[in-house]
Amino acid sequence: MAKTLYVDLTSRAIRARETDPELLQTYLGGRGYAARLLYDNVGPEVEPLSPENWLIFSAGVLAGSGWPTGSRSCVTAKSPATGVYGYAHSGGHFGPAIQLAGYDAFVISGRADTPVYLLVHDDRVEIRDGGDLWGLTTHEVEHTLTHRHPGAAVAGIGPAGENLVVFASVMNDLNRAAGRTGMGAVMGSKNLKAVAVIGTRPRRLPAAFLDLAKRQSAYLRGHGNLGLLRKYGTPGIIGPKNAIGDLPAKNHQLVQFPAADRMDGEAIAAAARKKLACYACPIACSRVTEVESGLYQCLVEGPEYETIDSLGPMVWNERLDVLIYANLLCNELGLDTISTGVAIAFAMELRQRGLLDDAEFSLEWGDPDSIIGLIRAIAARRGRLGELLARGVREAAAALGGDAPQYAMQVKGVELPRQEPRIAKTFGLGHAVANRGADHLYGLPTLDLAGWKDAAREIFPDLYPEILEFGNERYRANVLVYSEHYCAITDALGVCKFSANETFALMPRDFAAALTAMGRTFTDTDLLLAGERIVNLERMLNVRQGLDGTHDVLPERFTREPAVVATDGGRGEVKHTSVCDLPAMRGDYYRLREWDDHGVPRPAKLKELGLDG
Amino acid sequence: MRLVIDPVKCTGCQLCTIFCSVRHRGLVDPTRANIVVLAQHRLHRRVPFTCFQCQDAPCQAVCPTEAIVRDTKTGALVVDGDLCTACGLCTEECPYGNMFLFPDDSAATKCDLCGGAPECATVCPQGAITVDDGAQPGATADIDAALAAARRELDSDPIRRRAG
Repeated sequence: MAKTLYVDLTSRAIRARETDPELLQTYLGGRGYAARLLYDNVGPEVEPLSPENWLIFSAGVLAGSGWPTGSRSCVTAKSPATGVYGYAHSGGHFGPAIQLAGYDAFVISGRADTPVYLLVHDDRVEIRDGGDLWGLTTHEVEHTLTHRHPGAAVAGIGPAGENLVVFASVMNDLNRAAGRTGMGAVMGSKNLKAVAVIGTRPRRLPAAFLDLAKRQSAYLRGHGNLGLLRKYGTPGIIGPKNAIGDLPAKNHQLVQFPAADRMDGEAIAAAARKKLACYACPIACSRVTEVESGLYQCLVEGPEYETIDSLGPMVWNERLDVLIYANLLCNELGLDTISTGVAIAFAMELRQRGLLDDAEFSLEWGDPDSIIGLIRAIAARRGRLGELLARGVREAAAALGGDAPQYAMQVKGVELPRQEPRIAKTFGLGHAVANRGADHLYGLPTLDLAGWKDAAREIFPDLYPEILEFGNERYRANVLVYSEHYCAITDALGVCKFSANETFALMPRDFAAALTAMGRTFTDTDLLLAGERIVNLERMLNVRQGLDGTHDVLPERFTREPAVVATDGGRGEVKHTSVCDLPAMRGDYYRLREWDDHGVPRPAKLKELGLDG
Repeated sequence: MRLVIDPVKCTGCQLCTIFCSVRHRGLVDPTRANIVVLAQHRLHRRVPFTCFQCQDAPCQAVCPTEAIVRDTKTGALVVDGDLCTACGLCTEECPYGNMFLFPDDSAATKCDLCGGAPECATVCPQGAITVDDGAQPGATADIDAALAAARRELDSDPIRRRAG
């Protein structure tokens, strides 16, 4: 049985307890387990950057098990961006180390009086002096700690987290980001620079499970739905998204980018030097790209799709070298690339409209000096604009006043991920209602957008083929509800969505089979119910602090200003325009979820899910 | 039989180490596999690395109980668990670090080519590990020369020079 590690940085007390198996059955583990711990132990009165907040690193049972793509871990805390539920997750090799060291989670409370790092080597746990690490970039910290502790997996923060930037990330494996909702700031507020884990405990798993894992790995290796990811990684979706108007640009003033082919799948492939994979992954979507010479010369694992749109079209940057370098800089400084790009785009639109100017940065669309300079300024909280944007676009807009809030692309304090709500409507609904703020991975509703016909027919036999019409608000809520439950499952089990939610190569029944082969009784219905329970628990965590349907909104741009989609990737004639009818979809969503008109789960639903205690 | 390793194709996924440990230990125990994946993080390189089944094997020569024997079918050097006394001399003698003696183990462990169907090659999703059925084990001198050549190639890599 794996354990949960409790570390209090104030008292420096360390203890490990066997994880309650009932909690793992009910909430599966990973994200679900951490959400339950947060709900039970971090009350509404706790300030996110105070010692009373909990920072929980958790990995689901399939992470580090040999199950293909079982590599993911989660960082959970009350978020300084939203003030309510926050979490971020990442791939690489950190999650498996947690499980291989014998743990389901590390629960970190309190605040160290001086900078420290946590070292976990199986049962041996130490809080170590981190004075020589404070101020280092995430890469410098990782190189230092892997040299000092050979074989360690490291998760750490950079200067942005130390400076409590509200969208600071936690980085592992150099360039793998647990980026969203400011978990890096929570870590910085605790004076915790890094967590280093060496896991060498064998995992005794049933032969039936290991056989299944091996067969599923071979199955995924050749699966047709994974072709684009295998060949190009996430940059492969740039071209198709641009064609339909789902490539937001200039802070969502436009939805297509004429220079998209400078940073699409082929362009990234040409700049790529290496393919890398996360733990136990047969897909290997990741690319290490290089800028060979010039001011932006560098090598980085990335950029991924979200980063490309954030630091490319959103800020009207057409230069791949600037994009790659900006990605590396964000990673080294420990900044979420999505929030950073959206924050810079916000500033650039304000300048465009005469609402902002700055002595240091021109803020002209696409200006490399502004982009790179602002990344550094935000991480350091330096200068008027660096300090302002480090608070996130919601607070920055509030501080500026006037019309500024109209141009802040955020929901609940989290900068919008890179889907266009007026075109990818299920994503639009998802961004509005997600419990951790605007989030593309809370639901990742690709069923209709990518047109996975077989899965759609199987999951929604009575709504097929209308269920696939992603531009029509009707039935989008049906897609989203299912997708959110499936995402909760994969986040709780520690597997990558690319094997499952993104492509439907694997279905919930495959994970039920995995858990059953492990000796735990689950059907796919059980799993989807657990997913529903996790989403409702997260909702109640927010409701408890006064959030409700009035917060499930989108910036007015999406409901009021039509998106204009043209032929030829935006260069040609106008094909059509579209807005997002959020209220219609939201009403459907609450009804399907059996929540009231204010977006609050009804007592009967909570009772059904065992959340009424 | 010989394993053919192409580091350029290796993505560092660790499926080889995971399923080697499953095959030989019946556990998910990748830190005690008979193959390792060397990582050079600054250059993002990954290199699967395991026994060369040397023709003139130093491990076999030093073993005081003649516990390391050649499998004539595969050409692999295999540890006979009944003869091995876990003295550890082989782990000191192998110039490449491919002999292992883990605490709590009663015998040394090494790559044995899985009796003819190497698990690592079977599970590798990238074709970074393949099998050359007809190849004979090489002499350590040849292995040393190949490793030195690989090192020179690495040192001359333009990416290495720039990334520093």
